[in-house]
Amino acid sequence: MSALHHLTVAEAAALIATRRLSPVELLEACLDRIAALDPVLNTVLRLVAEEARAEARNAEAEIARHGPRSPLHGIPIGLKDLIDLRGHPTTCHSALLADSPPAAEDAACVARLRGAGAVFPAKLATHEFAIGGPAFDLPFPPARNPWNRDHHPGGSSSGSGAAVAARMLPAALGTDTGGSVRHPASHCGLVGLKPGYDLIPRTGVFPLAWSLDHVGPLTRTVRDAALLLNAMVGQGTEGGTDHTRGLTDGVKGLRIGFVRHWHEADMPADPEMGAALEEAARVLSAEGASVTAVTLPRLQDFAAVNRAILYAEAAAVHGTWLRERPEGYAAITRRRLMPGLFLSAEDHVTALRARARLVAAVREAFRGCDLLLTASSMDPACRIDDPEAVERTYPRQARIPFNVTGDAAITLMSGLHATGLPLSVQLAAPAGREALLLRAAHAYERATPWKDMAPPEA
Amino acid sequence: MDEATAETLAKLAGLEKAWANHRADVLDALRTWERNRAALPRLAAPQAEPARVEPTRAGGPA
Repeated sequence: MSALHHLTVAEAAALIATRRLSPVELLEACLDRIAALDPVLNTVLRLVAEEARAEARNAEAEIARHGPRSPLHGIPIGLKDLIDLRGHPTTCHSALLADSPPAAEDAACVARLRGAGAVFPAKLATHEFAIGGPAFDLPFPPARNPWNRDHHPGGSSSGSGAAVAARMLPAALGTDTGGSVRHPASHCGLVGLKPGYDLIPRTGVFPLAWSLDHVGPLTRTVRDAALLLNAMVGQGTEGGTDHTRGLTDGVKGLRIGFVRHWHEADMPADPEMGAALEEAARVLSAEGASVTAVTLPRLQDFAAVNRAILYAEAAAVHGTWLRERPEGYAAITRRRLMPGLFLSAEDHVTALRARARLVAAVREAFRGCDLLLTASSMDPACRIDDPEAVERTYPRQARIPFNVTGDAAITLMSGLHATGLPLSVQLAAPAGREALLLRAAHAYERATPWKDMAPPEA
Repeated sequence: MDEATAETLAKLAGLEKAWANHRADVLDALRTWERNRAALPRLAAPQAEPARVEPTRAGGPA
């Protein structure tokens, strides 16, 4: 058996099911890793060790009597601290909510994971309110990238990405309004899944922008992402889909549209990122997919529409606090939220009208292909202490289109940059076709060596 | 944008406190708003009716 903290969700589940691993042992291995690495990676905002130990002991006893409820029974899962965990405050990584009362209920996605038997040892760092980061003027320091601590782990689900990449936890949840699950996945060499809009319920998750927000898992493998998705969509209930079924069926015969202009013309990518994307197209083609170029609206159009809608919706959430307690936010958060207070009704309607056209354009593309292959980030992670580099690279991404459309998208590692930092690719599918998306991602993962790579410290 | 205009806009938005204590952040937010406004794709025919704007739903038409 490999060191317990290296086990993926599926590997741990197989050992737990055959009584070769106790959920208590697995949890203790994770808590040891957190104790060893969190002081330098800043991933954990609140450790819930004793409660998780009790949950793990209960899981152990129940599994001994009846076998596991699901592959997640006894598996530790981290939660971005925008997501309610019963009995604990949700701080959103903000001084404004540092003293908030404990959540009365689990978020709906957490309740479903709990129902599947998962345990919850930690609330994890985020960019403040999922938008302001990395920030150094908050009560909690920003999470760092385990591949190189001087670098940004991506965000806003920064703690979720760093904790899973550093093997502190086998999986974590994040939220994604403009790419915030897939960004840390890109920078930390993980799988980041944003399912179709509303597939995972958002009840109990602090909003950034309701019509763009998604909950999604960060994992080390595609299979693990499918297992978490199954639990969160209520697999096993009537109408539930098993996203692991057909996972190994490959991509033979699938039509994949390669959106090259996004990373070649609209936002020219780092040459190594571009080469990794070409190589991904070659791999998928060699696996039997038909890969052809597809043209979509400019990335900048998606980004402007996303921002206008995000600003408007976030202003509705934060307006009162921005007016009455602006000192409660980090400076970067104030700067990123206040534009929404200047937006006009005309701007908002213009954005909504443009959104409809962008959705239609992507829908039309999906009539001619099953999946899209695109860049995720245009650059590897920049230094975390270089605010200009953060501002320059943050918008250089192709994740936002699928928040605008609500379609499903997944980011995977696609290589290592000369700097030693991960490269990434993204696949997208129409909402509701997550099983197909995961199948294609699995085919890519299986054909490449990247899922077995770990940060130097891991 | 000149500072007097920025102050007027900030106060219209109810940001007196932020203007007094975090003026650089308010000015930065105004610049961001101006940039994003200019970047918004606009229809050639502004009388066009907004189409249905809901994002694609799981299980819905793709």
